[in-house]
Amino acid sequence: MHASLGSIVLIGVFVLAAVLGSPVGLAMLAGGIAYLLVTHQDLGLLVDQTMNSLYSNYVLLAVPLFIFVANTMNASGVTDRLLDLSSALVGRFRGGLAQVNVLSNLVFSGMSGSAVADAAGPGLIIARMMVRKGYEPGFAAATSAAAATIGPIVPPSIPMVFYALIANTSVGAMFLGGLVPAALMALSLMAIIAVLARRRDFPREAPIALGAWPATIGRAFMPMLLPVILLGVIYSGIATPTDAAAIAAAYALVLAYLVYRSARWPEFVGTLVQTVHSTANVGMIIAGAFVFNYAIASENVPQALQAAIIHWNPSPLLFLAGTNLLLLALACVLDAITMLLVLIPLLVPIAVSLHIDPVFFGVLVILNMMIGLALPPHGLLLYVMSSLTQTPVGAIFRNVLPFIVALLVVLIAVTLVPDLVLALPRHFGYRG
Amino acid sequence: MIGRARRLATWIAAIMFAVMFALFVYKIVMRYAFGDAVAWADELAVLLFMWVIFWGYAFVVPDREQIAFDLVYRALPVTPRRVAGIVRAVLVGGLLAAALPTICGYLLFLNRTQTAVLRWPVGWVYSCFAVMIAAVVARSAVTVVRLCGSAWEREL
Repeated sequence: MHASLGSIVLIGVFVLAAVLGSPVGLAMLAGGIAYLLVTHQDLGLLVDQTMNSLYSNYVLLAVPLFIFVANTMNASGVTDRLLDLSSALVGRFRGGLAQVNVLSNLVFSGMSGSAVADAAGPGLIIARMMVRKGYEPGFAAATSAAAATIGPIVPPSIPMVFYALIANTSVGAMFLGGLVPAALMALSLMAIIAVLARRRDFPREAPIALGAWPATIGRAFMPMLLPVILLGVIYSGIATPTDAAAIAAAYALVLAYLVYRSARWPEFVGTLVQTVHSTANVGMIIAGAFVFNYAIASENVPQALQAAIIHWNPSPLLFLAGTNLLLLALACVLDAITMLLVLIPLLVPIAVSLHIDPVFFGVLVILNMMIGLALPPHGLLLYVMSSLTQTPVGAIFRNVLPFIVALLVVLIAVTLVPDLVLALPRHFGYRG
Repeated sequence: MIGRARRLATWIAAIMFAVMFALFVYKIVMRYAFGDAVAWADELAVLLFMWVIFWGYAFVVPDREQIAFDLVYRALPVTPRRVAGIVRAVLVGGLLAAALPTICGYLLFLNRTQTAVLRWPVGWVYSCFAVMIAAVVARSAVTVVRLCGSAWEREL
């Protein structure tokens, strides 16, 4: 495989700009421009690749809508309701509040689709509660960071929308495929907490009275309906994923501003502004990736890579193991959306030619990326929790390691048993 | 002055997003209640999405909030960081500046075509892309000037 001048310039400029601290989207755009210049192609392609691709990929509109849902839910105080329910369920165990952290993340992630939103929302609230109860701050922040990785495995999921777009698979099948692995992640984290709780003598919460159960469940019922509605409308074929995202956003607005009336005009404006910030940031990475991927594709990199790997002829399992290692290693330096948009177009065709189901592969890829988000030394969630809770990153690194081990066990189990992902979508009619 | 301009730009972006969402709700109600597929609402929502991205990136999102791989950059001592900042701004700003005239020319050319439903000239509809490029070029130029000036440490 000989690297052409074009691909050297493309990757060289991208890496140089990124290492010098340029935002990822801009670095990809700059690399793309340098590529077009040295290969004497028309710079008008920049407009075609970004704007036409955004215009024609309608499913991308689900992304800002899911961001909006997460921000609205965070602003509406729904977190408290989910927290009460989780607390009622698992609070009375030793290390109860840490267990509550994991469980409420599992429930809340059913409405957000973004791991960072989960960490900044319920993750932060519970981490603060844990510190007040006497947990070590590093452990509290690490628990929230590890629990937030569950978020994008449970529908709705922004990374899954990206994957489905790139790999041309069904968003609905992806969403269903994530449910069992997400439950396993929660179980494994909770098991680790149970072990640590005994060893480090964590406190318990007071159990709630039997009579308080119906009210606690009732208070959390309407928010918990959101993922059900979402999956329901997508899977019954009533609505496209994009429309479903809009329905979810409307439901979140009704809950926050009409039913609970817990948020008002200033929160609404704040939510909109926050959503614009995230949308612009993510959108620029998407735009940069469209240009970057155009250059990669016109240099025939995917074909060359595919030919090289097929020539080497690995077993599917070996390929999956290699993918896991590659993604975890890259997650230490790249952000999840960039990896998804740049690497997946290279990997999916190879996976398909090795007869690996694209939905299974997608869930596995996203699982890797989420673990990567909590992986020292670059995991974004660790830094988000560190800055939100004012805890030194080092203390979080130390405490997150047992959780990483637990999540890796789930990753290995899913890699070995594809049915953990595929059984549910197949049961609901996914043919693959 | 700049603070006020950014606030105005933020309001415009927020309103664009709100209208985009309202169009979705309108469209869904029309489709499921009245069986009317309002294609213009679909198109307008997509166009607003594109404007929110590039308008927002150009005028709303502060530099420090952007997603960057800055592990190396942040680990540098101040003087190399100053050099890195200048090289980065010249490299990225320079490449985008080099592309800007062609992009503008191409957008004007695209005005001969119209969007599928609303029949708007494509060049104007896509012009937010050039706005973003121009804003990044301008910001890079300011960064270079400031980093070369005497108060450079404040810029890092």
